[in-house]
Parts: sequence; C-alpha cells; structure tokens
Amino acid sequence: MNTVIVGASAGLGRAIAERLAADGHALYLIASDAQDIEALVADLGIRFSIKVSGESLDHLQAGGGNLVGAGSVSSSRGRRTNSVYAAAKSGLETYFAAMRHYMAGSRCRVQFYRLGYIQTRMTFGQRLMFPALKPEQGADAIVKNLGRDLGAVYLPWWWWGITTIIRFLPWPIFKRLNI
Amino acid sequence: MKRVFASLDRHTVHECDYDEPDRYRELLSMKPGKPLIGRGAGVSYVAASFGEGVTSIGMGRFNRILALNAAERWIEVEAGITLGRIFEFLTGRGLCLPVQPGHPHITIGGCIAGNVHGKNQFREGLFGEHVRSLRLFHPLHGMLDLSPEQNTGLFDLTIGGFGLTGLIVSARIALAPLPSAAMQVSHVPVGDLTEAFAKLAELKASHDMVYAWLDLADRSHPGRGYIVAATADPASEPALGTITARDLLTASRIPRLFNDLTLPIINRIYRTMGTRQTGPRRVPLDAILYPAVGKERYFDAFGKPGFIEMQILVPENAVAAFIPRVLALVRKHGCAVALTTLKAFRGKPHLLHYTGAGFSFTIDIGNDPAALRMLAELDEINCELGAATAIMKDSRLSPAVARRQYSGYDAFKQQLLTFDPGHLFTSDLSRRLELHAS
Repeated sequence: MNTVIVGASAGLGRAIAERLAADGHALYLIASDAQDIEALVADLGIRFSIKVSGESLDHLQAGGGNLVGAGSVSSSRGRRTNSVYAAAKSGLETYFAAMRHYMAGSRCRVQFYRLGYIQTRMTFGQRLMFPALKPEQGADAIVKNLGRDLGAVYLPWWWWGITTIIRFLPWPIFKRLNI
Repeated sequence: MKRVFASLDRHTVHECDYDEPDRYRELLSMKPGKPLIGRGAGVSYVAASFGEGVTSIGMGRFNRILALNAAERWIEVEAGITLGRIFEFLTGRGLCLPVQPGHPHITIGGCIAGNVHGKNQFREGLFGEHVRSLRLFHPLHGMLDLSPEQNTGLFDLTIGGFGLTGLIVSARIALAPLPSAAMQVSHVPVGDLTEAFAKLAELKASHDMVYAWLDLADRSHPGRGYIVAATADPASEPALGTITARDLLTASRIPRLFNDLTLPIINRIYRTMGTRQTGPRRVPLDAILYPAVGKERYFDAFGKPGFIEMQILVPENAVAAFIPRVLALVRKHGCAVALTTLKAFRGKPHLLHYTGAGFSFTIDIGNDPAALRMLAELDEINCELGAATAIMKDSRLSPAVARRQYSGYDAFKQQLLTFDPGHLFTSDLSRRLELHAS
C-alpha cells in the first residue's frame, strides 16, 4: 500500500509513519520542517527497507509552488443528507486557511476550491439540480489559477450565489427542506 | 512543565522544568537564557541531566538512524536513540557497538557525555574512542559539526563533557563486527580480593569480556565471589529479537531491603547461585551486555535515602597497597557493601575521563552517615595511591577530591569557560563539582 502522510515528522503522524513502515508500506511524508523529514525518511528507509520519500513545507516556501485543496459547496451549511462529507470538507477548508496563513509571505500559493457538482463516479447517474462540471473543465480552471493568491473560491463561480441563499435560509424554512 | 527527577542512586532529587522538543526547529529556536542541560534516558547514577533551576531538555524524540555504512562499519544516529534499539537493528546485520554500558535504555547522547565503558574496557577502551564525529547545538554558537578534524578542541571537550558544552544532537560511531549472537560464559570462583585482581588480570588475555562480582558483606571471607569471563560463541544462532527491559527509575517506594543484617545473607545466596555452575555455558549476547536487565528493582532496595556507588580506577602499581587498606576500612566502619565489582582497564588519563591502566573497583553502599564517613576516608586513600573516582557514579564526590584525582580538572574548567562563559549548560553535577567557577 502507498500512503501519503501529512504532518509526518512528529507526534501521531510520525507514529503512523513508523507503524506503516514496519508493515512494509511505501510512504510519502510531508511535514513543515526539512530536517525532520530528512531524518525520518533516512530512519524509516534504513530500518525497514521500504520505499520512502518526503517533502517539507520549507522547500515549498523557499522554492515556491502551489498547494491546492479540493473542498465542496456542501460545507456551506450542515445538512442531514451528507453530514460526514460536509464536516470533513469544512475541516479541510479550515486546514487550508491555516496553511495559507502559514505560507503568507513565502513563494508558495495556497488555494482552496469549493467544488460544485463534478462529472465523476460520485454524481454518475444522479438527477442533479444544477449542471455538473466536467473534470477537464475543472482542471483547466485550477491550472490557469496556479500561482495566484486566491484563497478559497467557488468552482464554478456561480455556486457562490446558491450557497449564500442556502446559508441564509431562515431555520423554520431550512428544517423542512430535504436537501 | 515541571517534573521531579532523581539520580539513579536516589541521592539527588529535584523538581525541575522539563521540555521535550520533537522538531529540529524547536531545538534551533532555543535562546540563551535560563540554564539548560540535555537529558537522555535520565539513568545516570549522579544528577547529570537535571539541576535546581535548570531546564532539562529531553532528547528522546531525536532517536532516528540517519545513515549506515556497513562496508566502512559506521552508523550515524540521533543522540536520543537507545543502545537497545541500535542493538536490535545491528545484530541482524552482523554488526555491533564496540562499547556498551549495562542497560539497553541508555542513550547514545548519554554514552558520549559520560564517555562510558563496558565490560571490555581493557580491549575497546571508552565509548568516546569510537565516536567519529558529532553534531552539537548551543544557542549561542548554533549547530556545530565536531570531529577530530573539525572543531577539534570542542569535540575533545564534548566527549566525556557531561553535556556541558551543549545538546548532543547526533553522532557517527564506528562499529565492530558482531562476534556472535551468544557468548560462552564461565564463572570462575575467587576466594578473596587479591585472588580476584590476579585472576582478572590473567583471564582478560583470553576472553572478550571479564568482570568480577565480589562479596564484601561477607565478614569472614571479604572479597569472595566469582569472575564472569565471556568469549564469542561463533556456533550460536544469529536469531535475536526485541530487547525488553523495565525502567530503571520508577516512582515505586519499597522499604529498605538492604541493611547490615540482610546483605550478608542476600549476597551469600547470590554468590552461591553464581558459582553453582562454573563451566562455560551459552548466554545470549544481550544478557551479557546488559546485566542490569531484570535487576532494575535492585536500585530501589536501598530505600528512600538511596545509595552511593563509588567506582575507583586503581592503577596497576597501586593494587597491592589498595587491597589491605580498603579491607581494613570496611572492617573498621562495619558498613555492609551491597555490591562489589571489578573490571580491567586500559588507557591514559585525559581531562575528566575515567580511564587508565589498572582496575576499576566499584562498591555500592547504602546512603547513611556511617557509609559517608567510610567513603570520605576512602577518598583520602585514593588520593594517596593515585586512584581516581568515577565522576558519573559518585553523588558525593567533592570538587577538592576531584581536583586532586584528575590532573585535567583545571584544563577542563578552563576550556569549558572559554566555550560557554555564561554557563548556559549546567547541571547539579557541574555545580557540585564547581566545573563552572572561573
């Protein structure tokens, strides 16, 4: 199994990395400190003879680059139909907000997309209220934006309007909707 | 955070500030201010890794293997890695650390700072002789690379420098081929101290490791015991698993088990068991390397006041004079000595290193006024005979005695003052021995 661990150099992340390495998994480790990552990559590679490599945020800060997160419009307001998914995406968005703050002033750009419907296995065969974006269209937009200090944006942009309406729906109405 | 730390001999106890960084940037961002001292496993007999008003920096998270070159026989590790973990890693690859003290929880940083020895000192010398290079961090000087070619003086001062030059972060250490996965071990009985010294000198020529366990609590035949003599057993299987050992220091409180009445009986039983089977028998290598494993509660048996371990390097030419004087002293004070061991040594005195051509004679004795009086008299005998007391073992050693016994005492202080004039790295040990005074 190939595993990417973000926050791998200390605490729980490091413990998980060691545990997976002991089981022979290939690892790609990401952490904020280059020295920690170098040391851990060396240690796990030597001790467990696994395929392991890593990258530090220091390198991204110094050398420039892009961190792009894929969120969802579903995190705009908690709904009964997809609670876990929406909560996870909300958490991810907060993490990327923190990353953007951390990277401010560096050459690394942090972008986060609140994605609407995309034509993937997740939406395949479903009757959707709004049109779904082709993955290639999404990729075009994301690649075009690389290097820009965007923060969190909607893709397609018009989801901004829909989520704003949902967010501000009064509770007596919202609770009756099965969305 | 606050932690209560005790020396292994339970002699010194302090509540201290403790920090345990787990990232390099946390180490590198340390600023000179409050006194600091590095801490590995924290199992030194003396208070070398803590002190009142000193922040101990736990290095346990820096415990990774950074590089291994099996062909050139060296390993590079972070300082917080333990001997046990290295042993588990290296044995399967047919390699080992040439010098190892007696418990697998001891860290590499501790081995370097204490410049420790094993049961083969007469062959492999001190741990520091196998350190090829190291990295040291000091908030005033930053991260420094030290080796016999680079920052030579500081390299020399850091090995056996009690952690007073800064935080030892990592080290490259020369390895030896693993002699075998098990050793052939004999217990050779000896009737008294004179015979023990003579037999040890004889056996070291034909064995890889030798040390003596002797009984000074036996009033009628003080010094009876046996010599443990071990040689490699190439026929043994190389299957070596995980080493499990209990913590040497726990919060457990048991009543004092060792006293003048019980020790002669306990030691007699131990000696009888040790000499029941004298002929060579196969013992796993880790059991002979780390004899303190399984005996961790021994250190609790002296009760709350703890004990004093006095380890004396007796020069070869002083042995004949030393034996009757130490025996007379034990007889005069009537103190029951719990443990007496003897090892063979080689080397030349340097700075505060515990080394020299001769024998390392060790006694453990309960910490009470009678014992302290006896040890004070023994200090004088040692000074007269040119014997030196191990600084990393003896919690009551005074600066005056250390200065008389170590010709490098003033040089060590001077060099330390030059490098760290603000005494940023300080411990209870360094204060007691006045290693910072200008």
